[in-house]
Amino acid sequence: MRARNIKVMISLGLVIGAIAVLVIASTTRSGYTTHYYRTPSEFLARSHDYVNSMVRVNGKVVQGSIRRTPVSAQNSLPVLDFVLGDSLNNTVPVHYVGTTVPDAFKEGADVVVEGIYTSEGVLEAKQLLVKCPSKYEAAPKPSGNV
Amino acid sequence: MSEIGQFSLLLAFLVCWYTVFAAIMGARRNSPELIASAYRGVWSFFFLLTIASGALMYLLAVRDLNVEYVARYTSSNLPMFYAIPAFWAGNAGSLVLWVWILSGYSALMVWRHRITDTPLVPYAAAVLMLVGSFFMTLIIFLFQTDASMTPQMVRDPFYRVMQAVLGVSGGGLHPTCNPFWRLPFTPAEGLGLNPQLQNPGMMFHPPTLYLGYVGMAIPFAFGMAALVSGQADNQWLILTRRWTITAWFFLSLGNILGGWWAYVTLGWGGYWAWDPVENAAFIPWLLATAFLHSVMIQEKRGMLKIWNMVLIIAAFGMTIFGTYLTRSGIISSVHAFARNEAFNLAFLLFMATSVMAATFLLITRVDLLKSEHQLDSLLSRESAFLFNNVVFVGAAFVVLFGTLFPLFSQVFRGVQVSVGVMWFNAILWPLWAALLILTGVGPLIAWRRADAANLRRNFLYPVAFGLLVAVGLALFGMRSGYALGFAGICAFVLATIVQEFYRGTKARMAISKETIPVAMTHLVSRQNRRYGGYLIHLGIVIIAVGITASSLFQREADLTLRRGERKPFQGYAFQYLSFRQFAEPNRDVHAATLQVFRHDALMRTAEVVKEDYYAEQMRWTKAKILYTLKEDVYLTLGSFSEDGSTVTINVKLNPLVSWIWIGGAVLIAGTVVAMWPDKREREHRRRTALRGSRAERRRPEAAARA
Repeated sequence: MRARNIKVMISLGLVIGAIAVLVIASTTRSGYTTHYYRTPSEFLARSHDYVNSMVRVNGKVVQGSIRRTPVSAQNSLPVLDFVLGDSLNNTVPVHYVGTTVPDAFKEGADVVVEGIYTSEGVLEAKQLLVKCPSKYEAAPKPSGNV
Repeated sequence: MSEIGQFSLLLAFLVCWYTVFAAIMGARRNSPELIASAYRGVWSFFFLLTIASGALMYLLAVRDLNVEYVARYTSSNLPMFYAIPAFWAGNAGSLVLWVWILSGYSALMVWRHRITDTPLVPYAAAVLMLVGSFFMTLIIFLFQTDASMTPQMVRDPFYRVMQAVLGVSGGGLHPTCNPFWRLPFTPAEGLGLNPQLQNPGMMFHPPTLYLGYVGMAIPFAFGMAALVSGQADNQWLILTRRWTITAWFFLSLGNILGGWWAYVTLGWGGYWAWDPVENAAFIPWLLATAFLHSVMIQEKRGMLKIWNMVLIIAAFGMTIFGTYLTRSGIISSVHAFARNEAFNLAFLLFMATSVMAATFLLITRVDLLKSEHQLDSLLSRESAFLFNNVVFVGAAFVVLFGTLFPLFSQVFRGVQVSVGVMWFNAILWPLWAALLILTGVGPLIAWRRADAANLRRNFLYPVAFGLLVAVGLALFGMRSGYALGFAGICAFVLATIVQEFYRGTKARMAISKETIPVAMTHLVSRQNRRYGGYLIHLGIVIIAVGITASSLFQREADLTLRRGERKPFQGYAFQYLSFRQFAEPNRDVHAATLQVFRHDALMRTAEVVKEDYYAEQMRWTKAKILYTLKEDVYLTLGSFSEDGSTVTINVKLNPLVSWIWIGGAVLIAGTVVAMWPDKREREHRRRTALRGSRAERRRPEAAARA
């Protein structure tokens, strides 16, 4: 009786242990977690720690920094370059390839850029999200649509 | 009208507290008069909240913009169809909905058990009213000072008194979540409703989810009543079984509708994103599912009694936490709004107090919950259910941990680190696989100890069928290990279910000489709990197939098209025909018309749109979905040039997504079968309930034979 109970207990322990290992392994694996910064200044202060890892930075699109390269023979997808900043001194250049630019993306917009920080100091955006003014009381969904 | 609402709320608050005391005193003194009075209190509570909710609906319907809540969530040009559901668009209304549902459940519960002679019912009523009193306190008494107002601007007499009594200074007193609050002025126009909430799904999704959340309060209340009264035998489980299934029914429906709403309206092509609000609904579902399974073990074998108490406390705690997560802004997401410290503190305090009080009660009464049997073997139904429970609770814990991870990291590392969809998927797929396997194993494996003959009899064909399907798919060119594994497991479970139906039908036909359809109908109706359960499992298998296929084999492309141009993609072709822009009463619409071809034959002419909403100042890209059983063509308008000469269309091919909704429908149908009132069972329940607890102790053996 006892011995069988112990067998069950050990198996249950193994199951719980396996779940714990999965959680720890996934949390420490790069690309599975995203570091989120409220301002580019905050991010830049620690940026060297985050080369080649997923980050999410919240900032404003700097006036006059948007450069769009339309589809051509060389590139099959449109390219969008802009600068993300909270002041003119603390800015991060952003490079985005793709068409899912949110509806409300424009100069001065409050955006969240999720992507990989490269060793050249450019944020390779995977996803652009636009924050709505608080009046709407809705934050963006992963679509980037607001 | 707002005064009627406010007055009803105040009265309801008083009635609520009276009921708590009357019910407890009545149960302690064994006084039928006091208990009857408490029951009338529960009904009056429901009646008063119904009046308050009616008043709020009326205010929304007539767009009384002087009422802050109405001005905030509607506008004069919002269609009536969406003005009433604005009831639950904001914090204040949602809380009223919460208590209204709670009062409705309580009233129904008391009505159903009004003649059941057991102290469990008055105690449970007291627990429910205590929970209700917390939400009433939040709605009525939580306030902040508004510096832009003077005390003279407070119009509501109750809050004028409160302002004077409390001596609130530095502005006008402003309740934080009271939907009947009147503004000192009437705005010219309301702020309008978030257009993404302007969808038929919005009508049903939040109330459905709340019906699930709040429904879990009933088994919790009975569990606590069992501990308080010392009648901790199986009676509380038997009395609450149908309530638990009802709550589970609504939780399941709420989760499925939520996924469907996201898929249809949000336009990103998926149905689940591990968004905190989604998780908030999913965690209670996982725990409730675990509870539904483990109570069977207590009913039939008298085991896992402490575990069941722990589970119901956790499940109830998570429903409160889920309400909190969606109602506060701690982790931002679609519905998460309203940042307010007092609100957060009050909620956290309530959660902590109720869970701690319940746990304390459990610890002091733990000797009432002795297990009647021991686990006999690792290969037994008891242990299969135990594993099912551990995995369900483990999954709930993983989802909770992932949801709260940004908070932990903010506190411990100073940086907000969030986990993504990949994190959830990487951890959870083995858990889902294990649960699916147990779905097949649990109902068939023998009680106490399974021997080789039992295993062979029940699992030989299903395992063979599962392997056959996996090998067959591999031969047909499927190379994904995940897909093959899940396909094999799903086939195995499917075979166990079919085998059960086959054997049951054959047995009936042999005994009573019935035809196949008659035998099957009788089989299901005579043992509706068991066969309803199999139908639910069937629904889960179908959903699993849909989720596996659509997450592994989605294909996507962005097609930039000039007018008249046609581009192919994966056997389809898309031709851009025309562009038009026009105005609706509350929005501008930009629409591109496309022709979709499948293997060069015209499949459908479809219009994809972006809409600009005036009052809400928000643009929304709507999805156009061409549903087929094999795969959905999911179209959105990516971008367009102002003159409409070129557009970019985002195309996603989502395989087997329709099966998720079909599986959901099967699951819901199965749940209805399982909770269908059974005449014999009802008689039995009434007799056992009336005879009280002595008879209950004999029941497990009788039920074990069933």
